[in-house]
Amino acid sequence: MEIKKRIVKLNYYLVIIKKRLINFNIFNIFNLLQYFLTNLWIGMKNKLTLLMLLFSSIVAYSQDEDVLRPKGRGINEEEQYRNRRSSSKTGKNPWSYGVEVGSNLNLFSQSMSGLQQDSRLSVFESGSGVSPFIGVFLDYALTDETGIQVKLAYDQKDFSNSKDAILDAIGEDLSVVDAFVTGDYATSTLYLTFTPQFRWNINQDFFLLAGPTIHFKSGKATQKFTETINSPDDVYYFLGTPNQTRTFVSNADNLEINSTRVGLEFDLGYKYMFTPELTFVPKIGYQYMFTTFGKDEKIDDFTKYHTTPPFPGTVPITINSKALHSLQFSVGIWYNF
Amino acid sequence: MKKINLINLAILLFCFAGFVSAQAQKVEISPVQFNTDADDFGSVLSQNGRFMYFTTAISGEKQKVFTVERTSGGWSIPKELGGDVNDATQAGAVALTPDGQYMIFSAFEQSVQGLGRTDLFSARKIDGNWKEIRNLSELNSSEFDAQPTLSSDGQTLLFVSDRDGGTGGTDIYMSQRTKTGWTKPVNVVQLNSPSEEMTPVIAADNKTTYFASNRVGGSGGFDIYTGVKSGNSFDNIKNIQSPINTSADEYSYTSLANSTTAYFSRVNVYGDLDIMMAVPNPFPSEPVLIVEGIVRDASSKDPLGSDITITDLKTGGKVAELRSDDISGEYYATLTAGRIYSVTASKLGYVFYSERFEVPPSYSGNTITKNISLYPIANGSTRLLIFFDYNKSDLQDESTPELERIIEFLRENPNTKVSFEGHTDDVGTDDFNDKLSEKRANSVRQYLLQAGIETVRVKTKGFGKRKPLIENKDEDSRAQNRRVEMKITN
Repeated sequence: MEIKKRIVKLNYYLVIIKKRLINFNIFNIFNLLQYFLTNLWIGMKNKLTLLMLLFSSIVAYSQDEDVLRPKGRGINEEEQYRNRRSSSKTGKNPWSYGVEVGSNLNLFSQSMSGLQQDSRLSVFESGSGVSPFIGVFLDYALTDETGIQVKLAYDQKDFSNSKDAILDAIGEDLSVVDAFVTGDYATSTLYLTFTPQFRWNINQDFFLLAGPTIHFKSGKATQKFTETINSPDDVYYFLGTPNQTRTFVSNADNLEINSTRVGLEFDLGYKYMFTPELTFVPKIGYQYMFTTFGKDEKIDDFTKYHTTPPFPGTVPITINSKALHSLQFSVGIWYNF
Repeated sequence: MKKINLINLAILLFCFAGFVSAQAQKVEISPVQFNTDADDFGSVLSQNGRFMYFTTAISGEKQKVFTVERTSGGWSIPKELGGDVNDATQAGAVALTPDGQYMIFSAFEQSVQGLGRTDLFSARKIDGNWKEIRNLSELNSSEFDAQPTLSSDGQTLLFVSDRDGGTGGTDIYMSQRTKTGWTKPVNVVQLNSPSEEMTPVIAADNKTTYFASNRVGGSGGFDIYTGVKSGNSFDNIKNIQSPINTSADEYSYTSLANSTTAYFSRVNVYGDLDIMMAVPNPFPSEPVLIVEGIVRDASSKDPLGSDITITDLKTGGKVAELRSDDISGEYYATLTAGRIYSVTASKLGYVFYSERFEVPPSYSGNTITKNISLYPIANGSTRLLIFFDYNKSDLQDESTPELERIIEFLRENPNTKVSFEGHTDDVGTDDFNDKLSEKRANSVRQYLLQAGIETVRVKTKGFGKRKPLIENKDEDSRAQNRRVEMKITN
């Protein structure tokens, strides 16, 4: 009995699948399978009845009836209905557009192999920062639950870090002493981003967006690096002079980074309808970038310049896997026209 | 001059009367809060009005049955009907029995095999979910069969079909409940026209009938019409006019018993159907009396799902056969005033319980509450609704339904032995009452023996006036003490 029930159930799902595939003219395969399954439990003696039922059901599918309309809406009525629904009161217009502003929480990391202990360069291993973005988008509803959304945004990606280090320095008596310093860096970049996404409405309020995001570098990327000597008070630090200054600043006005980056963006949004035309949408998203932030490079670490033999004591550092991902928080206004 | 003033006064009075009349007739129509942007139609209210069942088209395509519950803040968020009803490509347009425990619904491509196109199916509410789907093959044709409605006694079914032999398009058909199913559907010629008829609804009074038709002479598209059911025929068919009917399509007009609110569906400017609320209902059905209550286990006090039968004791006819809800134990039935009824609850493993109640013709209330406690069979007992003439032991005709119930009970429980204990009031001598009570108990026994119940299973005892239920202080209390009780003895 249980098997019979399952076969009936499977048969039902085949009917549904067949209905979905009817436009592709491959449903004859399903007819055969459905017929076969039906016969498994009814037996072969009622073949004629089954064929008639099958035929009548196939005819019925083409009519597409429902429990209110014996003949369905009819092709013309259906088309008119779809068109009317396209301009409906609750955002059923397939087209909507809007603007969103928000904030990135940028998360930067890179791999630096060969760093010395307490290296002044270790500050560059990671970074984080908050920076704004603003965008406009166009949304096209494919169905009540799904749609395509394309977003164009100016997206600033800033990140920074601060870390203590211990350097070789020359004391007043010209002996090598440890200098305790704090290194700070701040990187700022601006991208023009293009993000086409697939939208799926979880329910009437919440929706998900997922799709690729392409970032084009806009303008120059800058980086400011500052080192401050905390102690001792009087040391020669590289070419510095004791008591002259305790803070050293270096600026990179045109940081070499990848000009185009590709990744995936996922968003979860909530729709709060102000009016049938105007919807307020807070959103949280994540940009996972496949393309690295910058190219791999090799530099020298001279943190232990005086104490690492042979003199001068520099150590080569390999930098790779420069990753910059962002968590995004935004609010938007959607307008249905 | 005076003549002109009089004319002005008359015009003024006419306008004022018109204004007052318009205000009195003003019907507020508004969409319900849970309408979606697709089709919403076929609203059906459970008897207590707490739940509304309706059909909605998911994504504008797939019709399913949803429910909403009345809350202090309006209606709850729609919930898809639990169970197997929606296991179909299209499912909806339901009819409920007044107790809300049995449903007839329409479905296209249901998982239970049908006869062709959209068919009628039945379902039962079991532990809160709608299951036991059955194709009502005795009603269905190979054509479109849908949009059922049930009379408040659950005995008459109207539905729509475009089967061969109709008067044109979709017609309304009628069928009567039998012991095993439904009679062969007949075309209701009084309601049908050469155009299409849809969404019939029989109101709680079992007379007022609403349906939709696009016949000539309406306001445009489908309009709501009303008719009066009398037996198996309908008359006084009329268009219920504005403001319910408009140039748009209207369907599924329904109202709750004794309520001033009506619900119907109307096609909005976007082409889909919305459920609308009309207050006051411009075409209300006649007020009805509702008997309601909760069935519980007498020992544990837990609510019980049980079979309920309401019988007109004068005619012996069953007025309603229903079930109390498995979870809440609640039951509802619609009655007519001016009759004497019995309500009986029975459940496997329990001793059935019957109670007599009279509804005077002048009864002004809308609801009678009859809560019922059922005793488990083991050592259970129940007071029987057996009636005797004064100072006699002959069974009155009114006793027949209860006697038949005892027979059914003993047949369903073949190992059960019972004892009938007769009791009298305090009028007369002890000796007379002892004999009378014994004779009365024996009358019951004889009835059962004639029906084939084994002798060893039925004993009798007469207690006379020695065990009154309550003090014999007036005629009412004496009537309560004149009784026969059934006790389980094994």
